[in-house]
Amino acid sequence: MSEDLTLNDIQHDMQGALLNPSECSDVFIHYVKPSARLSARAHLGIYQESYRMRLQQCMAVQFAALKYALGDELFQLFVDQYIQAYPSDSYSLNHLGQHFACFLEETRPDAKRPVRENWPDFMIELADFEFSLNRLFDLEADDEGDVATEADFDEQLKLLPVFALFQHQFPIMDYYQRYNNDERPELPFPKQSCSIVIRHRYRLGLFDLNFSQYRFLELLKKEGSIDQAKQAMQGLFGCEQSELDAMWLQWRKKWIALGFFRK
Amino acid sequence: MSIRAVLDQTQADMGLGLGLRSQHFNHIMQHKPDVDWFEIISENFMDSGGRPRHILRRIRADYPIVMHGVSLSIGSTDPLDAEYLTCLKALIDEVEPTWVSDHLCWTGVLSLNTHDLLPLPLSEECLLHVIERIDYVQEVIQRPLVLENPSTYLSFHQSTIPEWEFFTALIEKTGCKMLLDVNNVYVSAFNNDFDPVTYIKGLPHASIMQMHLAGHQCCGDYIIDTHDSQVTEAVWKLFNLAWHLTGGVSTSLEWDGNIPSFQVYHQELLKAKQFMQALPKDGLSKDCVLSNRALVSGVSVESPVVANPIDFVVSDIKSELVS
Repeated sequence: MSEDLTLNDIQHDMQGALLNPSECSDVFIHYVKPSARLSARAHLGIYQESYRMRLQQCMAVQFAALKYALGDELFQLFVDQYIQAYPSDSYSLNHLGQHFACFLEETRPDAKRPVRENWPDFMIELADFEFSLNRLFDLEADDEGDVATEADFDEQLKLLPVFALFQHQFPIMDYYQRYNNDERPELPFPKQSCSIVIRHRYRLGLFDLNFSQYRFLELLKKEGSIDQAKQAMQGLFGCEQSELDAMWLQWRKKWIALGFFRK
Repeated sequence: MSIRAVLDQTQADMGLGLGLRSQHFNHIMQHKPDVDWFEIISENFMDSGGRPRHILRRIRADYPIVMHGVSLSIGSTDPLDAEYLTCLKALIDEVEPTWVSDHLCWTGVLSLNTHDLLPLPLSEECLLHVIERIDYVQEVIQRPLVLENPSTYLSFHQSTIPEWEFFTALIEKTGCKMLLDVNNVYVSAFNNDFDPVTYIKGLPHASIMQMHLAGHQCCGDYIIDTHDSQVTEAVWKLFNLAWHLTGGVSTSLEWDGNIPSFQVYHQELLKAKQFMQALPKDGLSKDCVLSNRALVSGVSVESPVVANPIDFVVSDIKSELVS
């Protein structure tokens, strides 16, 4: 044991032993005192095992539906590899899974095959969706404003401060909701889907949309007013004013009831 | 006013507190239970602009709050995280906690975070390093830093100072205070072959601001600080000793895994009152506290257990959806 060993050396070597046990444990083990009941390696092993399991548990909370979809064993395997590839660099555990969807894309098993399988796309979309829910849940915003009613004019309607629109190749929202309702859903076939997640009074609401509704809300988000969103819809799809007005009246009633708008 | 003067004003015994857990938000808001104070995990709320922060504001209106952190990394050789300190200070300014605590540990180097409370080699070099960083943190937060003894699962050949003496020196040099986790003393003592009674007797008792209680799991040849069960008899005995040596300080119960109903959690905390009575006539010895060692070595835990569980820190979105 070197007498020149500094605090810095010890910490770097211990972190190495936690993050890369097979490669770095042999150096660090010489710093550890055995005890009456445990060898130095057994003492270190407690930290190594806890590091892996602690982050596994946190990822399982953040990606509960994905864990169900992949199965416990495959999920753990992916998480172990993910933590190795993207060790946490944030003091906040809420950021732990921020690169997980990207990691699944980078490491998809069919990456080099000429024909790609469907299921990795589903898992990647689901991972991205679950992490987005976490992000929306904690976003800084005041949810206390007055909710719009049907008596309010279109000019008064504003989308809630926290919401996100999603367009997926798979029915992600449906799968997620069925998982949450303990319906044990099967892996779905590809099917284009659109949805919106809103945060209303600090709680998240998940709603399916059809493609027209998705496009309209996307334009509303961009343009800022109902009138401008309608004009943009007409420009894009060439639909009749009367047809659009009739659709808007239906959407308006439903979305106001669901709490999409503030005034 | 100097930071040391601020420290002296905050030593009042606040009574018995509970760790604030999201599973109990609704119960607390609805029933306003008779709890003296709540302890929050600082990192749960520092970055939250959503429901956790909203609920905290409402609970703060009714209860005193103490902030308890897990990511300050006071012992790391990485520079202190300026972004972390800024967010921590912002939360302090909003919550106005009675005090702010973290752990005598490090969580990572090279800008990484293992999210564990890792042990320090308790040497002169380490002591000077931590003193310098405590001074800096106390200047930033303009109030006491209260440091908790972590549960440890290994010790270093390089350690030359017993942990209780290390704390004594830190307190003497910086004016910081101590959060004595009685369960952690028991866990660390068992795992690292020291006497928990000597540890507790050797501390500067006047500087202990708070005590923690928690449950642990015996894994045969070692003990894991799991915070997932009731406090053990041996830990209650140590609490009894610490209570008398400190003259009684604010005490809270941590329960982070298998979190029970609020009522069960609260009842476990109230057991502390039984152990505020007189010490046993024959005093308390190492043998008395550790007399369950034979029992410990016979226990086998069926499923793997995690030291310092923190998954409760991650928001459980599933329970926060509008149906």
